[in-house]
Amino acid sequence: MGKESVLLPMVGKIVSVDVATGDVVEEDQQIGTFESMKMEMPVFSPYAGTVVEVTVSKGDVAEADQVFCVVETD
Amino acid sequence: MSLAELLSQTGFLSITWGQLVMWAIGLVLVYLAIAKEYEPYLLLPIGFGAILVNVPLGGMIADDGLIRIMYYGIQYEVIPPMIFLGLGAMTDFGPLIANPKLMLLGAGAQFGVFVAFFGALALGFTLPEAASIGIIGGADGPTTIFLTNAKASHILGATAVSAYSYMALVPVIIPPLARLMTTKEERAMPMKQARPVKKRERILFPIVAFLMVALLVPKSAPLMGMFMMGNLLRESGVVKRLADGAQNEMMNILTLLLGLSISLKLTAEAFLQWEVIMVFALGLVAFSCSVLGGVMLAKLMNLFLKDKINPLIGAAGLSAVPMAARVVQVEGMKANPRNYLLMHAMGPNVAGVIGTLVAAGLFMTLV
Repeated sequence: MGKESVLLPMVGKIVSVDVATGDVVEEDQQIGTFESMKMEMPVFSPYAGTVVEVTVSKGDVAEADQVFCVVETD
Repeated sequence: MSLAELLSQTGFLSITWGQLVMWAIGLVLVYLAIAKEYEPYLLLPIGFGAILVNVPLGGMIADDGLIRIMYYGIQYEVIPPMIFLGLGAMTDFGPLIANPKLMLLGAGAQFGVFVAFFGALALGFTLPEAASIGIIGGADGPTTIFLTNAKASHILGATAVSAYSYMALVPVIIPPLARLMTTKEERAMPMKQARPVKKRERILFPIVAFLMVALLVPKSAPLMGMFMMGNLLRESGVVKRLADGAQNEMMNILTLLLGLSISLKLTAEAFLQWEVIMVFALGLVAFSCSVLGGVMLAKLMNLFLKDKINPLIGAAGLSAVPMAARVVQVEGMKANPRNYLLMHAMGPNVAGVIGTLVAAGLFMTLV
């Protein structure tokens, strides 16, 4: 058990957030979408566990390495 | 006036076979632009232009004809550099400044330019023609037009249409070649996050880069100068209206003028030559070899680098911005869903533009 942060891979605008606090996610599950240079790309969770905090919302302009959400691993 | 005389005043009796063929080519370009969205911003005006100039008695290309007058913008080499001003205002050199090694990949992807150049010479094209055909491999429309106008303007229709057609096909051309040259492990390799770039670096880059390139290859100064000027507008942060105007309104108007002007070289007499087929064939060779050159150089660099680079980003040295970088992102993600190469690929991508400018400058000087 531990809390892990899912980071955004590059600067971009959040197009969708597909998880909410309390959701259970699998490793490599798509948890959102962001857009950079007019190209939409998925955000995957590198961890399996429960989402305990979502730190971005749709429409945010986020920096690289900004925390997307926090997952408590099993 | 008799009926026959009346009829002769219309275009119907004066249509030639060549003109009909050009209508067909124009319609194909219009179709590709609308139905397939192949470079629609250029192929739509070029396609309609091909029909426009092949209407008999229309006088579009007469000395005082509309298209002829527009073409002065290309002939006097004004439109291509001004388009570069807009491109500069759009371009983020951050990934390149953060990782200047990637500049080499932009050079590696000029491989196709020289392969096609020597190929064209071997096929009997003259030196100036071969240079204009070779530069297609830089995947840069305005540069191709700039160089061809200066050196071999009689084949400008062929080189321009070939360059823009293959640019539209970048998502088709890059993947098989890049896959051929790399293993799945290589394509799956993530890259280290680039460092953040300071504002001062962003402002100094266009000034220093211009001086270096223009002193090295003076003939590249018009294109490089406008490219870097546009970028300085963007990065200075104090002339937002000019930066916006350059990349939006000005760019749109010039793109329209460029596309229509090219049609001067799309008359049946000028375009329907056997050489055109060879220009298209060599253009494809040029594009393909540029992709191979970029990927091979990336693999070569990995033999010496501590922080390895994903060889896929070498393919983005083909300077179709940002299409080539997007294709790299898609390919990298296919091999590893958590692989984000887009920003890394932008480095070689914008370096490729500079590389093509330098290559064009060399041809301007030496040929």
